[in-house]
Amino acid sequence: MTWTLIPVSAIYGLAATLVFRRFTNRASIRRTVNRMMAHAMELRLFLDSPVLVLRAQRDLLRENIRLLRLMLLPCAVLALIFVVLFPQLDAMYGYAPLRPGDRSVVTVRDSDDAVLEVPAGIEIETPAVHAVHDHQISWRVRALGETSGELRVRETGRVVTRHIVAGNGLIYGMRLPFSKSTIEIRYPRRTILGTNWMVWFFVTSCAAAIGYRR
Amino acid sequence: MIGVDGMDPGFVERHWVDLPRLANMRSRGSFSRLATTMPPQSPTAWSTFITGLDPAEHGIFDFVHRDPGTMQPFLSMSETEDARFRLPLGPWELPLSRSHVVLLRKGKAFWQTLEEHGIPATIVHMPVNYPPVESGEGLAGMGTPDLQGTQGTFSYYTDDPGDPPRAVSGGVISHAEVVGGRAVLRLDGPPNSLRKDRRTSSVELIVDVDPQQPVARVTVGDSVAVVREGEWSGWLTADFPLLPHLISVRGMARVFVKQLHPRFEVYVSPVNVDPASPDLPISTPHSYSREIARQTGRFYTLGIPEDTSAMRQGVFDLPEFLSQSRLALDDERKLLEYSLDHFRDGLLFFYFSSVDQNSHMLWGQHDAELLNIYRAIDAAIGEVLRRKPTAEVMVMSDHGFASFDRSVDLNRWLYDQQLLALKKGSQEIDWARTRMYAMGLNGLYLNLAGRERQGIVQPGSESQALIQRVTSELLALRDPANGRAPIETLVATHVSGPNARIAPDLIVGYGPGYRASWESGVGAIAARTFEDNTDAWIADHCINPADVPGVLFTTRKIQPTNPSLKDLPVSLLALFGIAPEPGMTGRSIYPQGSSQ
Repeated sequence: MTWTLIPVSAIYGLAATLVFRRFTNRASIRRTVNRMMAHAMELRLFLDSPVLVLRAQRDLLRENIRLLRLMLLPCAVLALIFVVLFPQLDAMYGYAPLRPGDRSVVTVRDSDDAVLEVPAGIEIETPAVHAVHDHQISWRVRALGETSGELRVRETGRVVTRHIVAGNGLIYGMRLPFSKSTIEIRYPRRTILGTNWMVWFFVTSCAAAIGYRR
Repeated sequence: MIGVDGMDPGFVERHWVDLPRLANMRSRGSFSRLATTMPPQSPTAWSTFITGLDPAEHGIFDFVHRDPGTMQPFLSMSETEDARFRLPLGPWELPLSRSHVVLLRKGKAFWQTLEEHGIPATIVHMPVNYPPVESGEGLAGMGTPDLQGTQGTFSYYTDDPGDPPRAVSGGVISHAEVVGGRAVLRLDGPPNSLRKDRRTSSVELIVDVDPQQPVARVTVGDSVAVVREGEWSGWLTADFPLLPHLISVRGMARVFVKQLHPRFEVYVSPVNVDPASPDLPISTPHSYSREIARQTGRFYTLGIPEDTSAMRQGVFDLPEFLSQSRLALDDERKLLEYSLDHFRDGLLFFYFSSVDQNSHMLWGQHDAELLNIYRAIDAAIGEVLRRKPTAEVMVMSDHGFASFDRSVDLNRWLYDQQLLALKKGSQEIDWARTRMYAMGLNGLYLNLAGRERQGIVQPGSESQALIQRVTSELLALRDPANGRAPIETLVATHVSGPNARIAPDLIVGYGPGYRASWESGVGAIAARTFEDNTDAWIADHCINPADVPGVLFTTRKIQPTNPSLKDLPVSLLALFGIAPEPGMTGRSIYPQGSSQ
């Protein structure tokens, strides 16, 4: 299922292209890049004149800063999109579901007394650990086989659920940026062909963006 | 080829019924005793097995050698060479060149010869192969350090006021305080090589104890485990910071929760190099350990994973030691499975440490438990025979075992003979007045002029006379407790060439029941020459090699000779039709013309 990262990255690449088209002054960027190339050429042409070389370096630096300023808005918009996407993508591609036989730790936050209920295929192996220091409760669970279902934590006055996956597939569950779930399930880290998913994401989205431009 | 460290022929012969696969190999192929090296120590014996050379040539005489320049002991198998150039920046010292780990064993490994002839070799956990020679693929074995650079340092935390914080042999005992259900413990990692003061880097290990139930949550770095009393955690990884937020070293450890109520007692294993992200050269190629970890999960990378030190220090009782030992054996079985899955052709060597380490703690007193370990190895051998029915299989060990009832402190004996002197009012050796000293488990050294820093014995007739005198007096020595001879044989080494500086002048072959004292092992001096061994380490093999031969099983009939360790590399090469390397003096155990 990790192959789905390819279309996701391609869509992000397309979005990046659209954002750049919408939020950049392309004429200014083109003009700035042309000036940078001119100053770079100055550096090569007037190597025997230290004053001109120094001036070309100063101008090159100034144009670089100008380019960064022109790119700031689209980069900020893209960063904003990525911040929203990151927790979802990291959960899906950065972690693997439990394999049958794997153990994991389930932790419920801001709770001093709760009962854990697990779906078929998941076993609770230990009594609850009440970490009174930070008001958390943890259990060790084990995947008995392939399964996908809801963990349920019952507290006085509320029931909280979280999806748990063992076997194949991706880990879903909308998460807000910089937020922590009430229930945390420790999944093993996953790489794609030995590399972090973010590397594939950026390579693919850049390739897609270049493709769209052409 | 299956190497089972410490498998004893006598023990095997007493339990054929319980070891059906080995019995089957004996009846269909062959079984014999395998002569070991002098001294019969694992580093020495395995080095001879690897190179086909005698200790005088491969240069490994003991676990411990001494530097004649400083008279300080050092581990014989490898050393770390620090970066040559460093840039001092305040408390920091940034290396401008790389540091290296150097294997001190000399000679060519037999699988290097195989590879040169195009025969693939996979060498898993070969002892005295850290860092592993860059040939074929393999994992380093005995001699691979933990992240602290030691051969295994456990951490034990307790709030028992009767168990004061202290460093012990093989571990550190620390005081723990549980406040509000939480103990915040300091887990030490490697010395910080980027700091001038080499301060130890560390991470916090947090244990949240449930107020009612005997269960705790252990957090270190981004690893979390929930562990019940009497249980082991899985591998917990942690990044030990060297340069905060920029450079760290990754290690992993397992936690054993001994007790949570009423006392807090938590053991943490030595911090192993993480095979999934190794910061030390534990495999060749470098990616090999990563690939295994990816497919099988993490595994012990410490050269000797069984924590005998924890049992010797009273941190483990016997069931706890056995449970830890079982974890190490499970990892070995897992690695064997992986190796068999990936073995296609050529040579696969696989090493088991469990029999040796368990024999040290169980021999003669807990035979049933030791037999369980032998059974597990027998089952593993059965698995090899089942999975690779057409392969030529050899099972060998580097030495056998004997009980260790009485310790002999040769430094005390030399002191009594006025051959070793102590500084006034101190236990420190006075080198200016010392003529001979003991270091390591079998070595006796002359304080030789021109070799030792303060040598006083002249080479030639004086040194020869002293060697003869000590030899005859030690052979005549009797244990006052029972009248027995503690020493059966002494061998003068007469080593010349590059190993002459490190070689002992005499190697001592103790009789069964005796061994060097722990003190003389590191060049110190005990209170008495003879003492009862009251340690949990109840058996050993660093004695007369004739008393502790190893085993050799083969699936093919061998020549009816008395095989020895140095015959095996020659035989392995012969199996592939390759002539022995220069310096190999062994003979092939196979009849001529039996190569594949």
